[in-house]
Amino acid sequence: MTYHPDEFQHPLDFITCGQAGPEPLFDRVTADFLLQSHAELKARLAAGSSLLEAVSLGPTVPWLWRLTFSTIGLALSATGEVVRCERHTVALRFQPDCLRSTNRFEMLRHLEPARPYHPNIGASGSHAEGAVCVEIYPGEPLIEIAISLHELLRWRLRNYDHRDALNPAACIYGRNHVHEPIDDRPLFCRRLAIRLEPLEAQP
Amino acid sequence: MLVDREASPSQLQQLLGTFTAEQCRRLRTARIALAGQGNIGTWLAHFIVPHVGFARIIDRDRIERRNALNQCYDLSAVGQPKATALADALRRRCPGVEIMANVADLEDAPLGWFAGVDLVLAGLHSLRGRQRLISEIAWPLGVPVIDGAVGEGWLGAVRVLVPGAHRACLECAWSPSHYRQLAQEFPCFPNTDADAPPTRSPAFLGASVASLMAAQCIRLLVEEGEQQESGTDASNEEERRSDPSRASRLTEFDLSQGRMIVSRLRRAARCRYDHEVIGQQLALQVRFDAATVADVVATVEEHWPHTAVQVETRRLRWAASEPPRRYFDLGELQAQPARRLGDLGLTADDALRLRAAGEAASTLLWLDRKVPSMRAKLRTRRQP
Repeated sequence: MTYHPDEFQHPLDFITCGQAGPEPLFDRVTADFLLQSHAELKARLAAGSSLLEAVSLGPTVPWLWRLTFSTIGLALSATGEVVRCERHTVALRFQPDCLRSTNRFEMLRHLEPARPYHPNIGASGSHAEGAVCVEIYPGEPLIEIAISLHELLRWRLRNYDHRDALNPAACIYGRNHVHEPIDDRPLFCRRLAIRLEPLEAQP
Repeated sequence: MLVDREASPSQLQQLLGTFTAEQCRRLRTARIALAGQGNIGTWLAHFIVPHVGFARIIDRDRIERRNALNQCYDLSAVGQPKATALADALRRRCPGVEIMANVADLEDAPLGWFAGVDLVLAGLHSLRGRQRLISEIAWPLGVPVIDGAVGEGWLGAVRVLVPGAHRACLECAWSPSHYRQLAQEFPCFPNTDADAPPTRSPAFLGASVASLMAAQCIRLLVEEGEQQESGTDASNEEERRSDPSRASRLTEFDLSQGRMIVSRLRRAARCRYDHEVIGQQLALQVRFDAATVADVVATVEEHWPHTAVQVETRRLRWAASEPPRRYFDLGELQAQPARRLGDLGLTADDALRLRAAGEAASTLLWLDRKVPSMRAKLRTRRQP
């Protein structure tokens, strides 16, 4: 299975690479798992429209990703109001022991918007800034991680207990104001084979 | 009961029955570590510590009032850390034993705490705690582990895990559902520790598991010591693999039905763990207080000149605000040579795991030259 990293397309790609550190050494089994995950995701993205832009940044193994979602979620505006936000970027890195152990705080980093508003995402300025609390089990494929993140960003997955939330204010806000998922679109859609033809003139 | 080790040297031999005086002497110089001081660990410590020479007791929790129901603590100790309270009680009971208490989570436990111990005894209730202790600490150091567990009803299990490339490890018996459960144990806050709900079980069940563990512990300490002294430990790997007494094994019992099953564990072909026992160990040649990043770089370059080397550690942080990382390359270290290791979150008990590009085996670099490596210890023990 051949692998070619994606080209850097966004300033966040440089930030992601800088924060993630050098590429670790992966054993053959883990490298194959990552290559398989990479191929599955790219095939899925090529098969139809999607709310996801996935950029693989690992030089030799697809271990480091920038995932940009067009999912509608919530964020705080400059004036502190809760507003809808249609662009969320999360950095994801796989560790050499990702088939055995997954620490979500080592793996995920929320990059944009600057002031996310979600119970499971650390608020800017807090000690947990950038942390994303979503369950990732060891050996979970990349597509499933992306779907979990999409479900989280659209408020379908969320913590209801403010004492256990990374952003308690967002948790309380959500209990009072968000009763349905904010975005009802799926992450991956099928490509519609619609052919438009001019109507024939009726005799 | 006060165990007076000096007054009655044959007391242990009489108690243990079948062992010779030489075997009892070997037992008395043994060094063990006990992790988890709950329903199993408290009883186990009282059973085994009087017979050994050194014990390290590790637990992160404090004693709660409800613990008095099924754990061996006084109500007067409520609020104290379990590790220190238990260590104090054991020091009063057996003054000849060297006992160290560490109030810490296993995620933060440096490898140095386990270097030089003959055996690790675990009475933990979370999968992540077991994985950390057995797969990430004891197995790479080559230290056997006896792991006890209580289950629903009156079920108990004791697993003896002897490290080796061809032996069954903890994760050989794990299915994908175990790994899913592992993910659920991680907390929703960064820098907090993985946890699982405590197992509720009566004191007699924990004490039964502890009794089995103590028996296996004494047997393993005596037999391992004999085989090390006779030099068979490293000479014939095939012999070791075929010897049933040295295989990983599992004892399960049901107290309510009075049944017990003993199984020999085999390495699973699809196990996700690499089973590596780290053979090569190095030490910095400077005192830790004065050690800098440049000393680490110099040691690494001396052993692997012009080779890319990956450095793995859980503690190193260039800045407190930096997201957690475990893997570093030599270039990063070379960029900040003057930084003191102590200022980067490392301690004298820590070790860096090094892996050179193209090499399958890892090497441990101890940061304190006083930390004895397992191999040095084995050499010392073989001397007459």
